[in-house]
Amino acid sequence: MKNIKRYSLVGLIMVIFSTSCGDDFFDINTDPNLPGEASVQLVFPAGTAISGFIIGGQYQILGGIWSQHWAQSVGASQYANYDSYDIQSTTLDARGYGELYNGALNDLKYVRDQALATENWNYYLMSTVISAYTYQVLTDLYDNIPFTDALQGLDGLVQPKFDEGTVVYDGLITMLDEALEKDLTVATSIPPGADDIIFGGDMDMWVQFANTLKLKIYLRQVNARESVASAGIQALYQDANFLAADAHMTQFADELNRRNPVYETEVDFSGFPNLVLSNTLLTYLDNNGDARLDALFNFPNDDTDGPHVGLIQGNFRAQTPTNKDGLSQPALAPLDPIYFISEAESYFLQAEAIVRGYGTGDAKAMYEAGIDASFAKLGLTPDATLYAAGGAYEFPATNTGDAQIKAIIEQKWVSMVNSQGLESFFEQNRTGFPDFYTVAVNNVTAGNFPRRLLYPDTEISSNKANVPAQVNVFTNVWWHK
Amino acid sequence: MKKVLLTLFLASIMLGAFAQERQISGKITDSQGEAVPGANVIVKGTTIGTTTDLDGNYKLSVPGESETLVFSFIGMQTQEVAIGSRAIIDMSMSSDVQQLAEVVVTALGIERDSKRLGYATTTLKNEDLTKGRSISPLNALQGKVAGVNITQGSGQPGSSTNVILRGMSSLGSNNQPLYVVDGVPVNNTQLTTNTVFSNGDFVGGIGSQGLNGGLDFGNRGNDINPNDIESITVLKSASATALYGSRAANGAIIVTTKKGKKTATEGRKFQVDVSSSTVFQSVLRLPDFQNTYGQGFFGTTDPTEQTSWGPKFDGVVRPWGEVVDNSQLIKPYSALPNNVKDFFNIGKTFTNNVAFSGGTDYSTFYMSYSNTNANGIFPTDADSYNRNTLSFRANSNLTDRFTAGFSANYVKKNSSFISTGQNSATYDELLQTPRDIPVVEAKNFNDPFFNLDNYYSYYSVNPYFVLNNNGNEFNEDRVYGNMNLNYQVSDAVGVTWRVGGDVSNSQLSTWRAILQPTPGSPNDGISSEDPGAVGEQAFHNFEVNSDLMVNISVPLTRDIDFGGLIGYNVNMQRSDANYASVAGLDIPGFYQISNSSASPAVTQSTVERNIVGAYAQIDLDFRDYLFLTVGARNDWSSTLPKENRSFFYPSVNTSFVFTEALGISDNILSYGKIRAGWAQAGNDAKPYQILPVFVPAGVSDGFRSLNFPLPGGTQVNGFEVSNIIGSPDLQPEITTEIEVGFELGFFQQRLNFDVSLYDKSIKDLIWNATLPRSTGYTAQTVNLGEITNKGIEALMTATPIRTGSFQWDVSVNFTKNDNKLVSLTDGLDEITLGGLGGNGVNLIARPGEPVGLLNARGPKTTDDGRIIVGSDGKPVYGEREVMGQAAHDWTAGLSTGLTFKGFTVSGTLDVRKGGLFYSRSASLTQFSGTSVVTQYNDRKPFIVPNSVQEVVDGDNVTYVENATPITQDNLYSYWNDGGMDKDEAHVLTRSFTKLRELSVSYNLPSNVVSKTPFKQVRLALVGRNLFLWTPSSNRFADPESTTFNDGQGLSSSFGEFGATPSTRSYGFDLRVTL
Repeated sequence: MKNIKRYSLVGLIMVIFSTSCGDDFFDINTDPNLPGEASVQLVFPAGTAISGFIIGGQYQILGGIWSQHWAQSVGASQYANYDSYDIQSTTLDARGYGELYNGALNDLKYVRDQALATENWNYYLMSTVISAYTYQVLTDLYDNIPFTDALQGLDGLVQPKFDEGTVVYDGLITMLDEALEKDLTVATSIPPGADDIIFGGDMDMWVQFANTLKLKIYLRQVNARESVASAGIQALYQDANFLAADAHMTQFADELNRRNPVYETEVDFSGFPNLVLSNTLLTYLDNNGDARLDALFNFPNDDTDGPHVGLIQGNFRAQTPTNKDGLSQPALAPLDPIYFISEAESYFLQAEAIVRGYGTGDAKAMYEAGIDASFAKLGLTPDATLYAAGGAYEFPATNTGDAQIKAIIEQKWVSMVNSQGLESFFEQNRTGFPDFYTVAVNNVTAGNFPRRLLYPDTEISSNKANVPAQVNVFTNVWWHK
Repeated sequence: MKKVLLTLFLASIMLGAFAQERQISGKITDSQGEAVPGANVIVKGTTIGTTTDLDGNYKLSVPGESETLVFSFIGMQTQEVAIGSRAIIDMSMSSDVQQLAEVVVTALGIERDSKRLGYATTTLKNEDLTKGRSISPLNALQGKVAGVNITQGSGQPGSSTNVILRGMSSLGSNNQPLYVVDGVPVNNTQLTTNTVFSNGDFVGGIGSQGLNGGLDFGNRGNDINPNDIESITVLKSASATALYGSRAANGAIIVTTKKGKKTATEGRKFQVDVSSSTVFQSVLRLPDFQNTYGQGFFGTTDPTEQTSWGPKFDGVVRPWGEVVDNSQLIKPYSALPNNVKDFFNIGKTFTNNVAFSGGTDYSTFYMSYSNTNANGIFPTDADSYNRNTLSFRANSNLTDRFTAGFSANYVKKNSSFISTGQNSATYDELLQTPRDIPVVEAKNFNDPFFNLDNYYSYYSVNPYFVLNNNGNEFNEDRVYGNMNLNYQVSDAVGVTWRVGGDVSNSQLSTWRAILQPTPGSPNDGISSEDPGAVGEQAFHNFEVNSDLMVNISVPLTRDIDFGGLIGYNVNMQRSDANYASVAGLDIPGFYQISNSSASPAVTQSTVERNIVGAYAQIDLDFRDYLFLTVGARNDWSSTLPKENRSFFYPSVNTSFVFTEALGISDNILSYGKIRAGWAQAGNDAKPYQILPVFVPAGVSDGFRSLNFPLPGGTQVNGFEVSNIIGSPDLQPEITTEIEVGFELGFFQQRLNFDVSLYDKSIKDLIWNATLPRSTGYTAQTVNLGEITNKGIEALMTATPIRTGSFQWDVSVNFTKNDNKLVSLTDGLDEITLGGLGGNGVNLIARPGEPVGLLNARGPKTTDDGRIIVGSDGKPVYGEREVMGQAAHDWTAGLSTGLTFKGFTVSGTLDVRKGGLFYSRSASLTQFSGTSVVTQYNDRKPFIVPNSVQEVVDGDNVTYVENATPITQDNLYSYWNDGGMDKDEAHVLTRSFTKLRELSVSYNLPSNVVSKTPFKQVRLALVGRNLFLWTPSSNRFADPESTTFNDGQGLSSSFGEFGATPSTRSYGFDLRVTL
């Protein structure tokens, strides 16, 4: 009897313990620190800002140098590899290519999927436009990229195959068309607000952005697939509804990690030792008496009256001046916007479409509107004398010898200084304008200009079976002239 | 305290004065009949006693009422003899053969006779742990235990100790053992920046990245006061730890604390032990500096340079530094061989400890207080460690059948740590200081010549400014303890409930001063300009552990005893952290989050993990020489998916004492045992690796970031899809280990061998496998691959000489572990575990090779091994190559002790052979021209030996003899790249030998002590890490130095990134027993 008492006590204790450990005891593996769900209103600005941060940040520096707007300064060497075309498979790998896929595109895919499932066509269009915009940058830099297989890691597709550039381009048009066909007015289409960090919720502008992006995609193919370009653009001109304003992001503040990324890293973090005015740009603007030069660059040695001093492209080992203080530096500011497509760019795209006969309208007017918009972008009063008859930038009467195209792209080139260097680099690749680039002094490419980036290390090491064989940095991409 | 001493003192005088006395004498011999000098003879229950002389004779006056004499001597069995009416008492003492057959504390605090164990254990007693007066009980194990690799990260006081048992066994989870105090697991979190700022993922904070200002406030396993420890037992194999469940898959460190002494039986109420030690620290290893070339660049003088690429020293007195108010300092242009060494102070560590203990046959208590106060070798107290511990334990037999125990420990720590790495870190600056710059003269950082504006180099900051103005301070209050209830239901059945808790509240404050030279001053625009920053983190840790066990012990037959155990374990862990930081301070010297116009970064984190285990064990004992133990445990862990939550693992081990079975008891082979064991152990995942999540949006270019919320009229917040795909199919890692071994004792246990062979395999490793970025993700948490550790551990202990008063003991241990990553998932042929990232030196793993390989780029070479140089004559980088494993090939320890009368001299030598580590000290001193290797060829132009240039013509590659020399123009960049070996020059051999411990102690003879109020007095000179020997190729750093400390053990094997130098320590120690 005594023993029974004892054993039952033991039993009771064990029962108390075992019952306290039911499923609830173990169901604590939902991370309390991170949400399991997030609305499209929270994820869309993340994906968009990341795309802007990369393209308007490190890619902008690369593009600025390769567009011969900027040169690597003397006495420093952060971007000497860009300015000597010494590109490795590690260059802009995880922080460029990687961040665009697993940062921007991955988030935008989530928004697209959610928007599609809920017939939220506003967000569907917005996320599609930024996705297409980002994909185009990737394929223009790398040629073949994962596209049809991309972004499906969650579904178990962990070795995406690479698609050719034409497949990507056609896919982008299809994506955009599909999103444009949707009825944005249905009740399930939630109106965006401040989380639309490009247009603040103006869906008409998004339609224009989509159309202008399509125009850009088609024009890029004029050399490689002229018929695709002409047919596509002609169809666009049924409405001719293009951007007449900047598609840009302006949400910056002058405090740590909230500034324009080039300013944040190059000016605030590094102390601005690396980027200076390239002689190529200096000569052009100087020769043409272009007032934009003084707005785009600061005089050397903090002078107030110049003159500007540029550096021969790639001459970062020059012995004089001994440091950047003797050279003109780009006038960057913490709140500089990041431009996806600028107003000026839209006009120049339209001008070219008209010159090529795919679009209708007044090419000269579009060209001049582009120059005016470029001045306005810098806070300058447009200077009509520059493109007036006899002016330095007068629009050629005919396109003989691509004269009109040359004028348009040169002006596009100038309009993109300090802000859209990468796009300017692509356009030079496509058109050959400006045609007065000087090959960088210390180039490692036997005098060849760079045309692309190398397939990145992270992709090669983890997706070996699919990454195409590495080619030289001076190998043309498919749409190249 | 004073009062107590006085009372005791008076009591002893009174006893002496009033007792009637009589003389007793005699001779003590050993079993061979030889005299035993120096043996103790004490009247039981008193402090009256003496020691035998050289011939083994003693004489003693004893009080009239004395009943018993106690004879004792090291290595011999203590014996008690009734005095009766005898005046002559001779004694023959026998050697203590029970020393081997000692009682070992095994898993769950179960005490077992060591001969029953089917696996290897090593136990170190308090004496071994406190000999060198290390403030860390774990460091005191270094070199003394086979199969255990123990390293301390740096010389800063209180820094972490990494303990790895039998090789690395996990890629993504913890490799460190479980720490158990008195049967209850305790927290061993390493308070390094990677774990301080969040549990699991690195959240970040000011100056906290591994390369830029890593911090290390030590691991909590080092909180235990070494004086409170009775013994530490190292359980290395799965067989030994299986009952502890998943958390002990990497082995366990079992700490048993001191219990109260039953002083009443000796006629005293209690005993007081007091100890006090003062230990000094000095730098153990600095790089070998050159003393031929001074400040400058391109071979010419440059007074603003922070490199030693200047001209040869000529001794001519010249001005140096900046011109301030039209004046300038002067000094001879000559080397200051000790300019770095002189920067360091002598560190001081004071440890004081007092313990009270006492009790009766029924109840005992133990109380102690200790204070350890260390100030490291850097000037200022920016590297300091202050630990106070207060412990109380009591045990009581409440009834014949019911016993209860209680233990509580309070630890208060307050420590400061100097940032390491490359971000204005002090040691980093020192290594670059030109060989002629008298850095100690810059002590007054407000002096016009040494202030921020004018400090000599545009490329550095006065290290005294950094030490005095920046800081990292850590405060922790921790309480841990347990309660033990045991009820013996009947002779055969007992029930034990043991519940323990471990709670800590911690706060970390870090701050960086505004570092802004006056605009227009010489140093305006330096790259280290800093707007100042402050960060505060509060974190809280909670753990509770409960074990309910039923023991059964019955004889089955006359020959077989049966022991059984079933138990139920519940373990709950929770940690919370809140962190805020802000950069850009408004008021200088005021370190509060409010002191900035910028928005503070704020994060919070909570991590919970629950584990339940049920276990059972059966012990069979056949005639006390053949033993079999079969065990099993099932765990349920909250961190695994519901379907895989439950996992089971069995174990079996056997031990056969053949000397007893075969009746061997000759004087040659006195003890022989063989043993074998097989066991499995499971290891769960980290929390939160199953379900998909979103993370706060943000993006970085590697330098700066874009943080959310985005500013503007309406702030826009953002979340991103997490880049790591959780795994809904995650399985536990399962370790399977087989171990065999033998123990042999010869010559009455004067020569003993203990050898183990083991083969451990860990399957289903949990790892974040890299995915191509184009999948939209960076990694997926998966089970992949297998690691094996195969090795041998051998221990020899010997007492070559034992004559009367002289004894010489020697112990040698040897360990060789072969680690191998057997496989990874298909298609994955390499993973990166840590290192510098990108093209730098990295720690990687490849199937078929050891886990933790150093991978670096050497020079590009031709097929026949000639070095290919570029047009500048400098070697061109080749492909990255595996240089070898990080882990040692083998390790050995040698301990010896000499005892003569009251003197004991003991020492430990720690020998570790093979392995590689990365050294930033090597890289930095070559970059800055301070390393002795940069004197090559007198710095005159030279052609890289055996070099060629590549001529490419289409697909046709030919080589021509290189004729382009390295000149002053690119000499610095040649050395910056590592010279001829490129990055491989920064990967050094990990081999070293250290004189870990050396101590000389003296126990005052009892006939002297007996005239004092004290029972025992011991004086000692102690030293630790007194000498370090490394192969001549390592002229840069202590191979033990570690910077990459993620608290899990694997990444820290990469090497040092400006880790502050390790130290040697030496001092004295006084211990008194009242």
